[in-house]
Amino acid sequence: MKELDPLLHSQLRLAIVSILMSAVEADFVYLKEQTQATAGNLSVQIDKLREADYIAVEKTFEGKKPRTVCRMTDTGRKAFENYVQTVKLYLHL
Amino acid sequence: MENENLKQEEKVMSGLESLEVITNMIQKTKEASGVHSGDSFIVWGWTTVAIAIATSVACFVTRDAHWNLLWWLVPVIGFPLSYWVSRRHKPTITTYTGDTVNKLWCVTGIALGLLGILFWLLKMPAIYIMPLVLILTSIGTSTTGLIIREPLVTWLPLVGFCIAIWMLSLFFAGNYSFWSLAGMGVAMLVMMVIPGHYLNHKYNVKK
Repeated sequence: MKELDPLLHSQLRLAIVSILMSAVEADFVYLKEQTQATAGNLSVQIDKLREADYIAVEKTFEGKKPRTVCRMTDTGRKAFENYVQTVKLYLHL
Repeated sequence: MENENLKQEEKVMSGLESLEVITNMIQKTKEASGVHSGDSFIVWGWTTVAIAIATSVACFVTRDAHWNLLWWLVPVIGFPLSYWVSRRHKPTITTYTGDTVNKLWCVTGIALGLLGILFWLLKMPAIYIMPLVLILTSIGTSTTGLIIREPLVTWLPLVGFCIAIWMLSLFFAGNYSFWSLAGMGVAMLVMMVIPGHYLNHKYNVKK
């Protein structure tokens, strides 16, 4: 049977990607609030997803405050769709 | 907390748990996108209602139609106030629904601006702007209701549409009474203020 994408088969990374799949973009503060992860852990997971080109990360400034915005890439979307299809196969849905 | 987070990352999930995470996050995002979604309706609705009352009273007391110039205060107050509120409650997420609604009101706003400019350029009677503004904003509000799937926001603007047609019937009959000005206020109260408070109450309570 087809293997589940190990990059997405982690609770926190899957949560991040699920949020981004239903949004145009989300900022770091929002992802932290919704996933209830620590800033450090969230940064590490975001970096892993970015390195795999699953998400795009944009760092900007709003006044003096730094702002990190994440959005899905086409590669990420395809990977997520494949992941959901594979999970459905496992569950016989 | 740190340990919990590490567990969260390392935990091996079953297929069912994966689907639960996905569903849960999509649901949370849907709810979060509604928070403060009524702000624009409240700002523009109350601004118009306040100006409608001021204009109606001024015109009624002085019997001088020049007080209708007060209507220009709607954009003068509405734009800075709307900007201030949006900065205060800046969303941390942009959903596809929110993005579509923003674009819809951008087009409606341009249409309203063009309406004012064209009436002025073509030297048309300015009084007719009001019912046309009502028709455009009622279409905008109803469409917003359809996009965000809120029946109250979809159907209430029909009240504004009916008031607009009533105003037009008065104007065509040459009756420019103070009641028609008050009608503008009532329409905005029903089709913007009520949906705005309803949306904020619904989603901000959930938050």
